[in-house]
Amino acid sequence: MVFASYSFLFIFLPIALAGYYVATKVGANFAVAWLTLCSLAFYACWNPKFVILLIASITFNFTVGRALLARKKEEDAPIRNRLLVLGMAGNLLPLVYFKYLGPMLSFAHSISLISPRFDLRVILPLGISFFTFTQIGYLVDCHEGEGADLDFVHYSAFVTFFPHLIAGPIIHIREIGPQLLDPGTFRLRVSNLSIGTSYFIIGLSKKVLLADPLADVVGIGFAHPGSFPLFASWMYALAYSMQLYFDFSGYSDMAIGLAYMFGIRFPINFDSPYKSMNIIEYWQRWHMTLTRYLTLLLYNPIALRVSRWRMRKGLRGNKTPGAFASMIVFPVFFTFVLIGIWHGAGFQFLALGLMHAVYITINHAWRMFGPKHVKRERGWLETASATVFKVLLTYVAVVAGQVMFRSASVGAASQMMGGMIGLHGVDAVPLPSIIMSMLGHLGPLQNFLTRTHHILAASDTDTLPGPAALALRFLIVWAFPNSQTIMAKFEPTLETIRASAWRWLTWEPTLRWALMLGTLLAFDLMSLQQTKVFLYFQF
Amino acid sequence: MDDAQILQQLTEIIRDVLNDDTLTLKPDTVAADVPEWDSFNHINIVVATEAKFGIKFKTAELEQLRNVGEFVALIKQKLSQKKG
Repeated sequence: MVFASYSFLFIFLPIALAGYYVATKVGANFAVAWLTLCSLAFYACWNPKFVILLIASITFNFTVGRALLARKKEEDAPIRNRLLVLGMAGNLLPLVYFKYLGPMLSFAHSISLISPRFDLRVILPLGISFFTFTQIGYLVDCHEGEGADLDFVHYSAFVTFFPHLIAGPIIHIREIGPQLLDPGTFRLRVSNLSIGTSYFIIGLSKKVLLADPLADVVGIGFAHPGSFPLFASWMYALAYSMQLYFDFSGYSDMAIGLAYMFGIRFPINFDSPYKSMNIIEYWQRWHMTLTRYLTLLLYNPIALRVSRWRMRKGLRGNKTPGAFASMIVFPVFFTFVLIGIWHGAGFQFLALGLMHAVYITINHAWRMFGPKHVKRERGWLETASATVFKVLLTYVAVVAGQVMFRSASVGAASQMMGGMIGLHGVDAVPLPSIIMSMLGHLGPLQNFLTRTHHILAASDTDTLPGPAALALRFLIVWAFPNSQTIMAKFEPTLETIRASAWRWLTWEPTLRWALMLGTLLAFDLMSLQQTKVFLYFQF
Repeated sequence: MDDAQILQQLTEIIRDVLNDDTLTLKPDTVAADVPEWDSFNHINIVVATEAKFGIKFKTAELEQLRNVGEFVALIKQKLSQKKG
């Protein structure tokens, strides 16, 4: 059951909310228990067998967490370390089995490392990467003596709460635990419902109206990666870039909206990432809860250890090659390789991680060793062109990574990228037909465009994503305020967001907004039958 | 050491790490307000702070910091623990 489906919207959600209302009247603990029950039912709708796996995972982590919290004393440190290792292993083993073992075995067979051919066909339990990561984070907190002291039901609600269970945002015990422990959280408020529903509709519209219509055409493009000339290749790559953003950020908006209906605040997961002016900033704005998670669990501990070690050795100065290698290159590559393979066992995911590790390293190197930034007055033209250049450079790097991410293999990705640098010919510039007809008045230019098109067009233009449809999405991505800015006034997320300067696009509980969002919802519901599974459900 | 003194010393450390002598910090300043204050420089700031004040932070404590004011409060708390 996905959020964008009739069964979720018209059966599951109304029952969950009605039951929640009754449960809150009985008591906060009942409300928490009801949320857990609904969430397990939500998970069972997809595959009842894996509910057992989910419950086993929760029980295991709860027990290890309890054991860690009971040993807070200094002299218990060795036992705590052993418990943490046990806990990590208990989490990672199922993940490896379900996600990586099959591909690893067939790879070992393909390079003749092992002779028997295992045909290991395991179904990936939905959301396993997400609930595994959430719980490892919890254990690390307990290890440091910081985990919130929740009972089993509250802990289960924290892990399973259905808005985030399948595809995030990856939540942190310290931001959700206190909300679950506060009895004031558990009341069904009209304001929560209207704000949550509005947030949800924005996300649903991103998914249904902006992401899904591109799915088929993207599928065609990436199924034949070597067969498109320059502009067609770019159109497919850009279409995928838009599909991925609207799909995943739409999902995250829906999760935030749903959680808020039940009175829980979630962290934001996207902050207009395609507006980033460098790649470091991009990672602070794309899948933010994953970046945050890996920064806290991997990057920071490694980098802290390395820098303290350097400090002790008396190796001062951050601008030597040694400092750069040990404090940037090493932790960055380690973290990004893990970000890559977190998505799956394919080499294209490893390649994605390596590409971004190289990007980030270059970004840091430029900051450190590049020309010094001088503060001075700049004219608007200079500022604007510098901004456009930075945004485009970052975006092109991101798109290259996304081509790798979407492709079936590294080979297929390089075919696609080959097309994008013109190795498979150059076709006509794809322009909306209205502009083409206007160009009719400029005879020679139109002749040129048509001629190149006739000579070199290898692609069937009917399957190309429409340039106007893509332009609309770029306009929304680059020129409009994002979901949290629109909703900022009522703070439905954990972060404080500055409201948009565009007053007419700041959400208020008014008739105008009800009409606008109601219209959007009507369009969403009409398109719901063609809805596609969320892209991040496969991870 | 009172809050103002800690804030002043912290400002010097951060100016030094970020190479920006004009930087001013207020208790409600957040890392996002300072363009150069990314995860890498954050580590440098933390380690430089540890060396300057002779204290050591736990990773979990660092995660909870929301703004400069909370950083100052954490340093103060660590300094009093050191004395006591």
